[in-house]
Amino acid sequence: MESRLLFLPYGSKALIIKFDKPSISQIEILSRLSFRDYIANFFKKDLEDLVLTSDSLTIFFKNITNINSIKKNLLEAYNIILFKRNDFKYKHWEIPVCFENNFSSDLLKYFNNDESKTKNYVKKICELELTVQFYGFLPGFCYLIGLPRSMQLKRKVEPTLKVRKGSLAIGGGYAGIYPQSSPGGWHVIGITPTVFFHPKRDPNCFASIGDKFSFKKISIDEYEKASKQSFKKNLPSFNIFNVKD
Amino acid sequence: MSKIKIIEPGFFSTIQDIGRTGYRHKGVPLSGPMDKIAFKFAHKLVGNDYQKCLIETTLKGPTLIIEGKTKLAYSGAPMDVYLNKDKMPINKPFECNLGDIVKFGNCHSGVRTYISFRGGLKVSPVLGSSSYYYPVTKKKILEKGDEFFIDGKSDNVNYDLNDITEDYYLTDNLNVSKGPDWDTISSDIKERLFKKYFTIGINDRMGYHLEGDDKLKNRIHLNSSAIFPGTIQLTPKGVLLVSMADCQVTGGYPRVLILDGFSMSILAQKRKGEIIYFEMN
Repeated sequence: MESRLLFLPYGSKALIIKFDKPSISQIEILSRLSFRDYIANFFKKDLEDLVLTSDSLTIFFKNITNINSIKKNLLEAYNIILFKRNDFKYKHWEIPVCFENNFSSDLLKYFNNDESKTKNYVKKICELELTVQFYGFLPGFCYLIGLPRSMQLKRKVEPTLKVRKGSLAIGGGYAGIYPQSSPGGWHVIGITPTVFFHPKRDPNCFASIGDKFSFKKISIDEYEKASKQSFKKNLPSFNIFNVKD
Repeated sequence: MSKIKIIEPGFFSTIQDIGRTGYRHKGVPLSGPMDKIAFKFAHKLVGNDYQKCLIETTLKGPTLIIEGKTKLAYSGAPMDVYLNKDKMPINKPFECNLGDIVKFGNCHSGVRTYISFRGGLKVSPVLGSSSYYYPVTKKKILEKGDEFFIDGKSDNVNYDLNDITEDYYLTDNLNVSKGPDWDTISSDIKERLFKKYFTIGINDRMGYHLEGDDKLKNRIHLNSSAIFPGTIQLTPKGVLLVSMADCQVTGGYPRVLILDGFSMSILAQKRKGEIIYFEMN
């Protein structure tokens, strides 16, 4: 297992902790998440925010902070977390997705109008379990990993100007759901009525980093009916699991 | 309680307070004023603390009708401003009464003007801030007919007003420091960033594009990581992307430089086609 960390100062109030490689397994993601929680607990009110991505954790301090004095402490904490036997809990969410009609038109285009290839891709994606690696890009946009190489789709050369809210899309090795309408360069393969971000809902984002997603095929009627429900009712179902390393 | 009503919204006017901190990990941008210097000037002139809400305008300001009594001031980009028929100067607070119409015109230079009311505008906060950022906030920009109450009860803060100037943004030099990915770029590119002037391309509250050239082209591949406003990323095509107030919380290009706070205000007053130079702090 990894243990090397690179510390990069970022302006006078932020510190980037760079891991030696992107996280590729759920257990790695959850370990980094508990490192994040350790840091949150250690600095408490001195912190403004903590942003975890595939290969970095950025600490935003409220005030100018001497970074050299805290490096040693962070390294020790990280090693303790890595070599401790961890018992993590996570949620598995079942996200309803409609793959019908023009919601998967990008996919059909990608496969040069080959309908059987498109159908096969949809079937396969509904059998997968994907893991939330991090949040970024837009409020509530989660980067999902776990696509086998054969299902990874190279990003579009020119981004689409308007990708619809709720679009499930593939960009390289990632899957993601657009929580709002936005320009985007990923291939849209379906659409979900699930609301991924709402400023008035607690929590704003239901899924935590390290959680798993699977997709359940729904019809266009089911999609439209669910879309009309309030954002609070529109939460997907989940189960809680333990993961042991 | 006094209130203002928007008769004409201007070109792209928003409500801003100091910004939305603590939600980056959910993907929510900071927002807040593009030009923090002018934002503070406007608040100082009417004795407000910096947590209060004001109007940020872009190129063309709004027309307002005052219902009640208020004191207001504007700062940043100069424009023709009329209180009924009288022309009102920049950086000088003035009193308004019931039925007065205040008309903000087009900027003579610069881009963004800040209009602050004594006590601040009352706008419900979302995730700790009233700064407009759609769809976190329901509103994206001011619209005709919008009404805002003015907080009449807030304490007056006494400031030293001697540092308030009109010409703070009239420079082409932007001060930068090394970004966290500085060491990923070649020494040729490092030199080029300081030998060349850059032309401002498309821009908005998310960021400014600075047009590059072939010599800045590169093949550096990095994974997405956190960015904050003021960060300058270098794209493979050699364009510099300067992140501003509404920038995304993560970015995937090398973060080569960081603008200081003062220079962010200067850049926020630049238009497409203008040029800038970098100077290392």
